[in-house]
Order: sequence, then C-alpha cells, then structure tokens
Amino acid sequence: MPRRHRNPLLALVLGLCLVAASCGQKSGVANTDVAAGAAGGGAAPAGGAPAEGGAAAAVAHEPGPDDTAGVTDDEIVIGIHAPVTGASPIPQTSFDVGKDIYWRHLADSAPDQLFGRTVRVVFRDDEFNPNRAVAVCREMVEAEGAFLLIGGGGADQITACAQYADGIGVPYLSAGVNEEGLADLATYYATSLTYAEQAPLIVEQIQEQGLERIGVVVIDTPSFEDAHTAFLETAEEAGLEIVVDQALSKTAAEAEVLAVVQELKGADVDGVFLLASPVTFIGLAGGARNQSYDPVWIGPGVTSGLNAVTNFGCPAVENGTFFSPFPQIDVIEELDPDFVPAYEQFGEGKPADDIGLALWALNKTLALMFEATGEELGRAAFMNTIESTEAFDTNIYPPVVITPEDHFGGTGAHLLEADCDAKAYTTAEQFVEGGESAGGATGGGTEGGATEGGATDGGATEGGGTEGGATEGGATDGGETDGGETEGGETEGGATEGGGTEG
Amino acid sequence: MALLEVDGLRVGYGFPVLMGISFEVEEGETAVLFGLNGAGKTTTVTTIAGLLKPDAGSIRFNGQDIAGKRPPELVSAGVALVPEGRRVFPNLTVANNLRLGAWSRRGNHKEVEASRALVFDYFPRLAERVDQAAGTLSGGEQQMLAIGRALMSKPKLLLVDEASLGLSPSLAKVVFQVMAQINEDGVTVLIVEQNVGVLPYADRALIMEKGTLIYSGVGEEIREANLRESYLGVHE
Amino acid sequence: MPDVLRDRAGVALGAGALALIAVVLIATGEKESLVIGVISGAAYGLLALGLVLIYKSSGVFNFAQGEFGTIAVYVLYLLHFEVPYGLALLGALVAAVVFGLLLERLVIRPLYDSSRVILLVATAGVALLAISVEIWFGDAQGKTIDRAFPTLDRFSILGVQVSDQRLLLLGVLATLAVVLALFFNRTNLGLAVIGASQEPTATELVGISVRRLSTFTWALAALLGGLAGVIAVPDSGGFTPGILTSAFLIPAFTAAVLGGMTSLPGAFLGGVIVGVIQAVATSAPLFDFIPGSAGTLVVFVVLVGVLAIRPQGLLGRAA
Ligand SMILES: Nc1ncnc2c1ncn2[C@@H]1O[C@H](COP(=O)(O)OP(=O)(O)O)[C@@H](O)[C@H]1O
Ligand SMILES: [Mg+2]
Repeated sequence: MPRRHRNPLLALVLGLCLVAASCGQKSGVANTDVAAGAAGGGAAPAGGAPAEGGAAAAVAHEPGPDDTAGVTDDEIVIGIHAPVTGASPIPQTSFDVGKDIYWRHLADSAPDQLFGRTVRVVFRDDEFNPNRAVAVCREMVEAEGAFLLIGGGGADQITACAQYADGIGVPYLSAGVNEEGLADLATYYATSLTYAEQAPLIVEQIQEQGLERIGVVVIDTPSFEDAHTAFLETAEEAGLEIVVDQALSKTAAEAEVLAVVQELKGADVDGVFLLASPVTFIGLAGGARNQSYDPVWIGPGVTSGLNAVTNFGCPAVENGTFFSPFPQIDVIEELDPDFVPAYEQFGEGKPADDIGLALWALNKTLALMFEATGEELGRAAFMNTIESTEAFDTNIYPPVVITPEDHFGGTGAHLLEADCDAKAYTTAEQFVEGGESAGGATGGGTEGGATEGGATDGGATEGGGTEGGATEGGATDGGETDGGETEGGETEGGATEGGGTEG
Repeated sequence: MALLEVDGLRVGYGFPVLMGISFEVEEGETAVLFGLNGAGKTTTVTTIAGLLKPDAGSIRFNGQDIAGKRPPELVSAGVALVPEGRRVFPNLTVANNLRLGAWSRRGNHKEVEASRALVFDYFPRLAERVDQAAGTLSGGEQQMLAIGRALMSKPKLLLVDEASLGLSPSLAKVVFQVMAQINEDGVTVLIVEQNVGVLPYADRALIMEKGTLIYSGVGEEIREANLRESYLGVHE
Repeated sequence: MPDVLRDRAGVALGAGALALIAVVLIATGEKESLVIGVISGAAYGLLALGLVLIYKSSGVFNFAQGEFGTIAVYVLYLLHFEVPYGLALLGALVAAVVFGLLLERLVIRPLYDSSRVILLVATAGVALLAISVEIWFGDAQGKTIDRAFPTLDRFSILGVQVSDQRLLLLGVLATLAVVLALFFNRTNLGLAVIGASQEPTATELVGISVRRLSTFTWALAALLGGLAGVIAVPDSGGFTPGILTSAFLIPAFTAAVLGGMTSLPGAFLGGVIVGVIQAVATSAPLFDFIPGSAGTLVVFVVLVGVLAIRPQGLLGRAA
C-alpha cells in the first residue's frame, strides 16, 4: 500500500519546489509601458559619424551598428526596470508617475535643452526575478528601441540585466549595488556608491552611534559577497567586535528569521549590519520587536530606506538606519526647489514621494549626461563622454565621477533614519563623503562642459586622492556632525551648484 | 406482483452490454443468476442497486419504478448490494464497517444495535474481530463482513455478487448456509454465482450469456442434471 | 487495535520523539530553537491538517490549500477597516469556505474521475488564479494586519517571548487536531469521509452520497486553511499575494508527510518538528558548513528522506 503513494509524492516534491521557487515572485500585474508610438530603433540621422569629444581616454567606446538606436531628432527612448511586484514593496503607481516627471518638467521649463529632444521612458516590472529582468531588458531594447537601460533597484536583477546590456553594447546605469559581476562590464555605470564602497561610512556611523556588539546578517546571494567581505574587513580594521555573522535565504521561513533574531538577541548585539531586501528587513525587525529586542539596523541600500518600508514595517523598523544615494523627501525643498512644484504640475494628483525623488535624481543626472554628450548622441559618444566628464552634480545625488577605469561613480551617500511617528524616513545627514573603490580618481583633467561643478568635484576627488577613504571621510563627517547643520562642510559645492542650476 | 420486476433492461458502458433482459424475483425467494465471466451478471445487479443508469427498460421494486435512482434512495427503500470483490473499508474496524452499513438508519440507535446483534448471530467470527481493521481479515471473513454490512441497512432485497469467489469449498458452503438463513428470516436474495454449489439453496435460477437471459426456471427443474449440463457445462 | 488506539500510539510515539529532540536541544544550548520551532511550526501544522484532510478523503494533494489561507487574510485585511475585528475574522473564514466550495464544485467535481495527477495540476492552477485575484484586489504590495490579541510579552518560555496570538494559534491547532481525530474515529460523517477515500463505490452502496461528502471535506479543508491564514499571518510580519503558498506550503507538506499524510495528530506534530528543524538548522553551529540558508535545505532533505525511507511517515499507517 505505501508503495502506491510513494512515487507520486516524491514527484510532487519536485513540482512543489519549482512552483514555490517562482511563487515568491509572482507575476500577474501587467507591465506598464504607458508610452506608445514609435518603437523600432530607427536609425537616426547623422549615421555613424564618430562622436567628436569622446575619444579622450584610454580605450574609447567605438560606435557599433546600433549606435544611435533609440535616438531621433526629437526623441530619446530610455528603458527602466525595477521590481514592483514580487517580494518588493515598491508601489507601481509611484513608478508609473515618477518616471516621466523630470522630463516633462524639463520640456516645459527649458524646451531647448537636449538639443530639442524629449525623453520617453519605458518601464518594465522585473518582478524581483533576475531571469525576468533579462527578459524585460531585452524587450525594452529590441521591441521598444531603448537607447540605454536603467536599473531601478534590486542587486541580482541589476547584475543580470547589466550583463545582458554589456553583451550588446547598450549603456546601463544604476545606483551602486555590488561590484561582483559588474566591475568588468564595459557599458555598466554606477551613479552612486556601491555597497562595498559604503562599508567605511557604515563602520563610521556604527562608531558614532556607540554601538559595540555588532551582528551581520546577509542574504545569501553572490551579489552581496563583495559587500559582505568589505564590511567585515573594514569593521575589523576599525576594531569593531562582530559577534554574529549569519546568512539568510532570500525566502527564509519564519522559523529561520526568528532563529536569527534569537541569535542576535542572545549575543547581545546592539547594531546589526544588514544586507537584505526590504521584505527580509521588515521580517527581521518584526521578529525582533516581538521579542522586545530593538537593535539598530544599519546598512547600505537603495530600497530599504524607502518610505514604503516604514509604511509597511513600522513600528518594528523604528531603528532602521540606511545609506542612500538620494536623500529623503524632507530635505528636497532645499536641495532642489523644482522637485515639488514639478510634481504638483505633472504628478497627475499623486503626491511627490521618495521613489519619484529617486527617479527625478536619476533622470536629472541623465539629462546632464545627454547635454554633455552633445547633439550627435550615440551610445559610444555617450559612454565616452561620461567617462571623460569630471563630475555630474545634481545636488541630489552626491557628484557622480566616472572614469574609463572606474565605472563606479559614487562619491558619497545620504544617511536616512526611520521615524515611525511620521511613518517615514528622515535625512539624518546629507552628502556623507567617502568610499573609494579600486580605481581611485584618475580624473581626466580639465573639462566638463556640463557640470561646471568645480567646487564640488574638488571635494570628491580629494576624498579619493588622499587615500584611506574612511579616515578622510571620518574627519569630514565629524566636522559636519557637530556643526549641526549637516550641509555645513559640504555646502560649497552644493550651494553653488544648486544656485547655478536654478539661476 | 413480484418484489423485483426487470423488464427489457438495456445497459452499457458506451457499448451495449445488457441486450434487453427481463426477469422477476418473488418476495421471499432465493434467486441465483448464473453465467460465464463477462456475461453481464455484475452489470445487471449494479444497475439494480443504482450504480449504473439503464439505457432502456424498467426496474420495478415493490411496485415502484426504481430505474435510474441513486443508491442512497434505493438503500432506504430496501435494496442492498454486496459488491463483487467485497469492497470492505480496509482501514476501518469491523465495528465501523458495520456502522457505516447502517448509514441510512443512523439516527435509530436501538434498531441499529439490533441489526448488529443479528449480524453477529449470523457470523460469530465477526463478533470476535469487532475491533480489528477490516483490511486485516481473511478473505472469508471479509466476505462475511461485506454481507453483514449490507444487512445493516435492513434490506428487503439483498443482492450478492460472487460471494463464493476465492473461498474454499467448505467456507463457500458456510456462506451459502448463512444466506439461506438470511432468506429464511424474510429477506429476498438474488445471488450472482458461478459456483453450482449454491443450487441446493435456490428457488429460482437465471442463466445469462452475452448480455441476454437464456434460461429462467423455478422449482425442482433447476436442480435437474440436464440444466447443469446444457447451460452450465458442469458434469458430475 | 481500534483506530483510536492506533492514533494514540502514534501520538505517543511522535510525542516521545519530540521529547527526545527537546532534551537534546536543551542539552546543546539550542533550547530557544525549540520554542521558536513550536510557535512557528504551529502554522505549518494547521495548514498541514487541511492537506491531510483532503488527501485522506480524496487522495489529492491540494496545491490550493495555502490560498484558502491567503484569500482569508486578504478578506480579513479588507474587512477590518469596515467592521469590528471579530466580524472581519468571521467574514474571512466564510470567504475561505466559499472559495473551497467553488473550487470543489467548479474544478474538483468535473474532474472527479480524472487521475490524481490531473487534480493536482488543477489545484495548482487554482492557486495561481487565487494569487492573481489577490494581486488584483490588494495590489502586489506587502501589507500588515493587526493581531486579534496585541500582547507580545505576557509569556516568556526559555527566553523566547510568545505572543498571545501564538498561544491562540497553538490552542486552535491542538484543539483542532484532537477534535478532528475524534471526528474521524467517532462520528458517522467522519467515518464516511474515510470510507469514501478507500472505497467510494462501497460508500455509495451503503447509501452515502460521495459527492456530497466531497463538498463537505473541501469546505472543511478551506476552513482549516482560512484559520491558518488569519491566525498565523498577522503575527508573522506582513503578507503579499500568495504568502501561504510561497512561505508555508512546502513546510506544511513536509509536516503532513512526516505525520504520514493521513494522521491528523501527525500533521500537528510534523508541523512542530519542521519548525524546530528550521530553527535548529539556522542557528546550530553544526550546520554552519551549509552555505546560505540551512533551514530550507535541511527541511527539504528531511522531506525527501522520509518519502524515500518511511513513506508512511512517523505516525502514519501503512495503508
Ligand atoms: N466498467 C466497465 N467499463 C467497460 N466495460 C465493462 C465494465 N464493466 C464490465 N464491462 C464489460 O461488460 C461486459 C459484462 O461484464 P460484467 O457485467 O462484469 O460480467 P460478469 O459479471 O458476468 O462477469 C464485459 O464484456 C465487460 O468487459
Ligand atoms: Mg461479475
């Protein structure tokens, strides 16, 4: 009798695994793609004529056959992917609305910008699934004719899609995530500090907060390995005591999450370095809260500092402290007074939110890059330009400094802290500097038509040049912190640039 | 009026099996339905018990047309089938098998208890194994349990499909004797058999071949040797 | 041995195994894992009860069992803004039962004579459909929902706080396991359900409508799934579409298999054992060599091991 059941059940297990593996990342919500109209990578006018200015640095990008795909006389198509379904708390509506606001604002306030072109943004949901990410990126390039691709969040998806983009010579930009799997790509650019580059900032923040017993919880994915190692090394150098170091699966069961919480609690950990998706963060924080245990959760990240997390995870996430490429909405008025009015004008009734802010900053950076590339916009020219331009400064992102050798362009980050009374993150410190990755600042000499941000990049380059990003940053930060007004030390660049942009 | 009147019954499984058979069973009789494998005996009794829907023809029980009615109704009306292969509930105890047999009378504890006592009278062996799982009983015991379970609904007509199959001749004889006893106690019995050992207990014999009834007789004629030889191929 | 006694012997065996595990864990300093395992495993057990019920009565592994729970969670979520929590809970359970009835009527019944594999695939399809409906109703974002009982720290066992909601879950689970065991051993309806699972023809022949029984068991299983959802989910953080399928179904299935697929108390104990395994595998140094999440892997190994070596489970009968 048992024999009769045995095989079917075993077979079942396999089926179960397959389905469960995909269950965490259900599809279901259709992709958005509001934009309609002209698809095809219609070859633009000027043909292949090699871009002038670009050829500056070492191995310049050479125009390929599709060099001007996605660019016409009056339009540039860009493709963004991000997880808005699956194990992600990013609300899709925020993306749908936010992706176009900057461009509509630009077209409205400065129609002559970008040489008379408008930008059309195509958006696809990658469902928090790397395979899906590659599929939607391919779709955006092949069917929508995207000129370049942008990763909105999620390390594994970004890595997967960036590798695809590199294979076909399409520029790919994202906020800084891992270095593993991205460092060797010719067409990948990080617009903010990678997780590993943020390790010194985090260690310093841990010391500032006086946290003594440190736990490490890292989601088990290859994408996080370099950041994990970087943190352990930096922490060790700084003399931090790491008492727990735990891996957790992306889809950890409750018992596993609780076991990790118990281990942290049992080891009297007061600060947890966290490399995890927001959902895991919320699970851990919730589990800890259930045990009346409230350590500080600190880490790098793009998504864990979103207000969606406080909306969903408060009060448990009260002690969340994350570095972010963009500040929170509470300080945007002083950093870019255009943002809120632009939302009021073009936001279709949606209030301005942090996802909109992230998209705004990203698009603003892109606009600077397009502007710098000039009228003859092609993929090779674009990449050559951003690799040779000294810095792109939006006054929202810390200045972005990209060189031919170092595509990780971040120079700093903002520190966000959860405030569960307001159910939102607040910007605790702006433009925290530091984090230098391998290449150092080889800064290509003079130029920089676009940014003009002499003041700012001075600061940034210095941090790198002097080596020991951590120590250097430390000094700066110290100054900032006791100054009370965070911008204090940094203002120069910020203020100047802001003024410039506005005026 | 006979207790069971079957008239022009046609049944099939997408293809015809019963070609229009007619017969009667009088109240109080023991009738035996003979036939080779595949003749259509099981099809006949399962149709009477309501598991199959007839394509044509009528089945009257106690004056009522019951063709096409479902088992729950028929059980309440007094028709019970002991199916081919016994079909006891293997994981349930003997007691619980009997209890389910009394489903149609489940509110009526006293009567059910009386039926149970009667079953144990017929089959004392079941009383000894009352708490044993039915799946662990011997073949003969399972047959007894299947008959006992059918009796728990207090049927007027008991249909028994191949009760002796797989039993030793002596055990088969015991089973036939108990069925005679049951018949004596007032239950009309229709037995499907291939074993002519049942003939001494029968009042009526029916013989099927390829979906048709080729012989029907009552009384002493059915015990004559030529019936056995010409229809059943049995030589003594 | 009568059915009830066999179950009792099984329960005693399982409880003995659990006691042994407890002693080992306390001796090795993993005592917290024990408590964590029990409180998180209870949810698996509750889901497993429904799996066992359907499997027992129709031989089908019901892939949609988790979604009975998720649907209930979404209904609870939507209703609790409108009506008092108790009423919302009731509405959620009603929704789960209605879902179960619809599933039985529209999918299971038409496929009644199909192979069990086809039914399995059909229930998987229903689960996916349910998840789509959840996305449609509640969008894809994560959500949280209030507990029925907010107190978190009334009890602390071996250093782990057990919230009141968890106690409710444990209480409901233990009560249901016993009540259902009695139901299947002592009542006509319960016996009929088991009878129908083994001998549907004979069940019809004693005058029981097997189809009506099927309706009943699916409704009951849906109620159990709904209970698992509305009690477990509010205490475990947040939920997203398909939460009980993605996070609970495999552990629950493992629990059911551990219990032998047919034993209700076995499903309960199996759930607790799976919870303990996950917690121990995550925290015990012994498993540190496993890269990543040891809990998931060890549970899977246990599942395959039990299926291969002892398919009747720890407490199941070989039948
Ligand atoms: N469930 C079924 N499906 C299809 N054909 C069947 C089924 N049951 C019986 N038959 C066919 O009907 C005929 C009569 O079978 P049956 O009534 O079982 O005969 P008997 O009981 O006399 O051996 C046989 O040819 C048999 O193959
Ligand atoms: Mg037959």
